Amino acid sequence: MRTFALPMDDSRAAVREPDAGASPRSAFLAAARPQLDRAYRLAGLLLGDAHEAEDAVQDSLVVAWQSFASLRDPKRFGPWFDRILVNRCRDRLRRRRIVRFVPIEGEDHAIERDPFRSIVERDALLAGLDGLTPDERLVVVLRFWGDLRLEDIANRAGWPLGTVKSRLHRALARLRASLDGDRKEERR
Amino acid sequence: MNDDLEQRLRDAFRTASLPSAPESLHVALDRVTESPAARRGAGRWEVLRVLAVAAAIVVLGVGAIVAGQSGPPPDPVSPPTDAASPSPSAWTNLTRFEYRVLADRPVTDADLDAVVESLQRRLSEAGVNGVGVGSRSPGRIVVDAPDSALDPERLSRLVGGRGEFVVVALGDAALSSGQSIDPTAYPAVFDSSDISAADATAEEGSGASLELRLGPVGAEALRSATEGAVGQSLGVVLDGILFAVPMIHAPIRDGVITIAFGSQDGVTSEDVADLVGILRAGPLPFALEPVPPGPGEPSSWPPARP
Repeated sequence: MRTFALPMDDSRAAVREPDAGASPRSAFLAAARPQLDRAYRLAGLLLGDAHEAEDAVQDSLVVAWQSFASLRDPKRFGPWFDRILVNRCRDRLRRRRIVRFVPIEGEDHAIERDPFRSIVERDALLAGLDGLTPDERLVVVLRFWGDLRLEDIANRAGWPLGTVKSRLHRALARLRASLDGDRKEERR
Repeated sequence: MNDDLEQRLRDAFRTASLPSAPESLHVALDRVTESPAARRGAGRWEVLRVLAVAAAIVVLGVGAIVAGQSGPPPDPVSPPTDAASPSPSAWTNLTRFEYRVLADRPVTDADLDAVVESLQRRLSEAGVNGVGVGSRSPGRIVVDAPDSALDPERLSRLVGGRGEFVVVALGDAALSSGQSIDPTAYPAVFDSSDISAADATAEEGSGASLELRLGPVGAEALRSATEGAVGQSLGVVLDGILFAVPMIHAPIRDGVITIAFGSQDGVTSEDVADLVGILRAGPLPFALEPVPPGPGEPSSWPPARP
């Protein structure tokens, strides 16, 4: 083997300077910690699974920390972090296959109930969330749990306002159909 | 009717007893900002690995990307592969990168297929697994990468560049790697079409090497360029950037050229493996331009190439 070159010219290695100090970290922690409960609950309602919710929030924290310098107004941390989290949850929803554990009747299993699954299963109306598309579920949760205006939902999801409205309309239609279907079952 | 349903939804959510964030998330928040990689600032995907090791909270089910050698030297006839590549079932998070195909005519589905195939080969030859490449009209290429598969800079290098490779005779020009260069300003010695085989090798303590075997035309051009040019330099150019500026120590007459990178050169075995992947796949039929994320998208956009 013929060695062709040495010495080489100057290195291409990028030199990364350490951060200036604890100030950005303090600011980030002060902004992010109050959001944790809300973020976890939002992710849990979107994903219907506590473990996935924890993963999604954790991933979002990493992304948020990495891009914290791009946030011009720290007061906007909440909506800004919401956008990151919503996108993470949407990606997970689109890609996962849902495997639902169905308890076998008559057998006495000690099943560890996921808190978010339990919430959805306990309420006939919320159970209809499982029948929505990921984007429809997102709109419903942000609107009726998050109490956001449609414009704010559009901002979080990165959609046009018209898209938010049409998805909300479809979601409500599906939920109504789901409820009506349940009522017919009860009458039988 | 909708008002009634909407109110019922609000009531249902309000009365639902939702759990608070577990203590592990608070710990994770502290650790995200404490890790050395995070302190060095932004864009280092190894933060995820540090988080998983430190907190043992997230079950990612994927291996970490190892930068540099962590095991025995690789087979010299194939580029180094990732130490542990994620399997599809282990993906927990994917980031999508989108590119626009730049063409001076309408882009057809066949054009998109050609680009996708070339990129898939490039990633495969560079030893990158688990990254999905697809297309969507009009004229867009999408790349779905698990967060642990490769960092945005590497993705930008592997996917964003057209892969136009040429070696030119620099003579006595004082140029250095990383510089932009107009390759047409210097005599071309050979390009990727003259390369019959490309391999990356690494030896402990010596850094990475790139070995190129040329076909008859390229071999003759290399012999001609190196005879009488001892002490001068060649320029290895990739997409208009000098990848390396090796000095000619002796004429090359057998059509085999090996460029060795010392540990001080800042070119890692991963860089060389990526170049091998690009060379084996050949240049893309079209250039690609990254599509920035929309206003609602977090920063998952690869950085612009230097």
